[in-house]
Amino acid sequence: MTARANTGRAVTGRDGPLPDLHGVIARFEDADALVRGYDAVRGRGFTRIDAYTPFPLDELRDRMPVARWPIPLLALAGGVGLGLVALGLQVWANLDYPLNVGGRPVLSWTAFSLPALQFAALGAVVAAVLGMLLLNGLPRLHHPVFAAPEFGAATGDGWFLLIERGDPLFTQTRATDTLRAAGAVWVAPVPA
Amino acid sequence: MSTAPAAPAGHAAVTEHLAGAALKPPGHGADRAILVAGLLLTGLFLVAVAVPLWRGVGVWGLSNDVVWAIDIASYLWWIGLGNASAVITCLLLLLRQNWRNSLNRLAESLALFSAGVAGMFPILHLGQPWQVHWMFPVNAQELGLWPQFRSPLAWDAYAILTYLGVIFLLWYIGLIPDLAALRDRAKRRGWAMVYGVLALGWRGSARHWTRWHQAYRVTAAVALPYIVLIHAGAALLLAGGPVPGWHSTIFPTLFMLGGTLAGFGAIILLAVAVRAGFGLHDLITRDHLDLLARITLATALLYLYCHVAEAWTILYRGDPTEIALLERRVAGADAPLAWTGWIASIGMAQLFWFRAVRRRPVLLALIGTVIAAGIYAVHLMLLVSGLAFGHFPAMWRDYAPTVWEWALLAGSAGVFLTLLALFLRSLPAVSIFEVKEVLRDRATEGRDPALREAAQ
Repeated sequence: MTARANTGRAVTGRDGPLPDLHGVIARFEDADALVRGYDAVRGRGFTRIDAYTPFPLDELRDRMPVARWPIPLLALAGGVGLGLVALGLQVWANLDYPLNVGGRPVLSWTAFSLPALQFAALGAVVAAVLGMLLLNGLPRLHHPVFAAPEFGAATGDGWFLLIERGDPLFTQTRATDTLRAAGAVWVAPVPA
Repeated sequence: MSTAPAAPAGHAAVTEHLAGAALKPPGHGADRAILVAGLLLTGLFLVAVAVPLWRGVGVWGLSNDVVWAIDIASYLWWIGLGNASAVITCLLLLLRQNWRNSLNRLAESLALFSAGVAGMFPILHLGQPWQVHWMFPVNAQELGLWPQFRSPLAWDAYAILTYLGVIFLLWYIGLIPDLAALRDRAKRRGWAMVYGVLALGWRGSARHWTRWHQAYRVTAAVALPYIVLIHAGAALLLAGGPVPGWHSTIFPTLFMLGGTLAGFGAIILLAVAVRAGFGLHDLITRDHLDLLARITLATALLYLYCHVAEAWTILYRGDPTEIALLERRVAGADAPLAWTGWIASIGMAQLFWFRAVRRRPVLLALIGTVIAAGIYAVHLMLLVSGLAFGHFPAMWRDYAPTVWEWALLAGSAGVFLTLLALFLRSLPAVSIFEVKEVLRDRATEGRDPALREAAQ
């Protein structure tokens, strides 16, 4: 796939953004260097930054916050939703064909609650996972950063910081210089 | 805990080491024996399924009275085995115990595969498995009827279905980042594409990680109570009927704890095997094994309580049939099986009182295996003794498993082993990125307090 590392060669930026640029990416020595680099880039006023790490970093979680509520809320909605569907189905089926078993009520809520709970759990988990993928913009098999040099290391021991082209302060030179000053091992432009 | 490998160099090595095992073709290592044994037994399984399909479930030792035996005992045992794995991985994730990271992938896989194997038994025991859709509200039945939603038998069908879904997602969400790691390391383009598609384009973005973590924790938080519900629900259908020896409110708890105890036995075996097989002595330390043994002991004591409570309930209620049944279990026809099971499970777990035992990995693995097998004996005894000894003397039937039942049980183990062997060589058995996370935690412990504080 495109995520395979191409070359380790650093590419320095030219003046002005290329018309087909996704951003400028830099690799850092280790996790701490990446966190320091993030702070430095942030300190220079850049806002549209992304970091790529082999595993979740608590430090970045706090620095690049995402909304806390959407995924739990989606899970709740999915759980309640599918639970109600399962409950509704049982009610409907029993009204459709009432079955008298030893005089038990046609709508036996206590009995119906078990299948409803089971499907509620499934609904919650499916909603949480799908919601996570949706909010992350996945599945998306191709992404410009996969073309960045050495990017395959992002799942190994590579620590990357990307300044996106959409950043108001973005010029290729400025982004390159900022990343370099932030302690990057190398800096390279990422074609869109 | 003194070993703190240099983080970056360690990370690359960990990735190569753990991904390397997955990228080799199947059957090229110590797991070849597992695969061969698994495939042979799977062949046996196919025969053991085909024969009852062809000749009917009459080839089993079942009768109109003893309607459930090996088939349902196997179902309950396999599902219990998986339950404990799923419970422990969810619990440790929610408690942020990162040492679980070396264990969780295998535990989740164990849960998934054993749930898959478990799910086959209820379908096979229907006798006419091609009509399994009658369990579901598809209304495609020739009779134009709906399933009986008040029946625990119907609950069971939905339980297995939803359980497989929940466990699969729990397993898969944890696998996504590692699939990406395999994609980036696969040597053949074809495999890179397979892993790439399965990884869904994961690129390790920091915000993605945060949402991934949220979703993982939500999944675990939902799965944890749900797993308990599933297993207790399965045993509730036993307690719901008038069968002597089943008709007790402690029964769901008893079955759930029995399954969990078997599962802990399997987890200990797994932990010891992973520790030795992958050289993870620094991650799964003797302290952790010690902890697992203590949890197992605690579960065994709870399980003992359930058995005592059940016996006490029978004596207190004073139903003569049930008292006679209790005598059969303790000192009569069912006693050999019962005591084999009790001694092998509850009895063997008592060895965990001794620190010397808890800290010997090989001994632990051995005891864990015996405990898991012991629970099977108890499950079978509990099922059969109640059915073979009803309220009416006319219903008394002896039961002995036939060769096809044993073949089915052995074959189901083969299916499990095959899945396990294929998994070991196609996916990382130990979570790559989570092990790196632990290494970093270790490396940063004690230094860089500002960074640590910021992380809180």
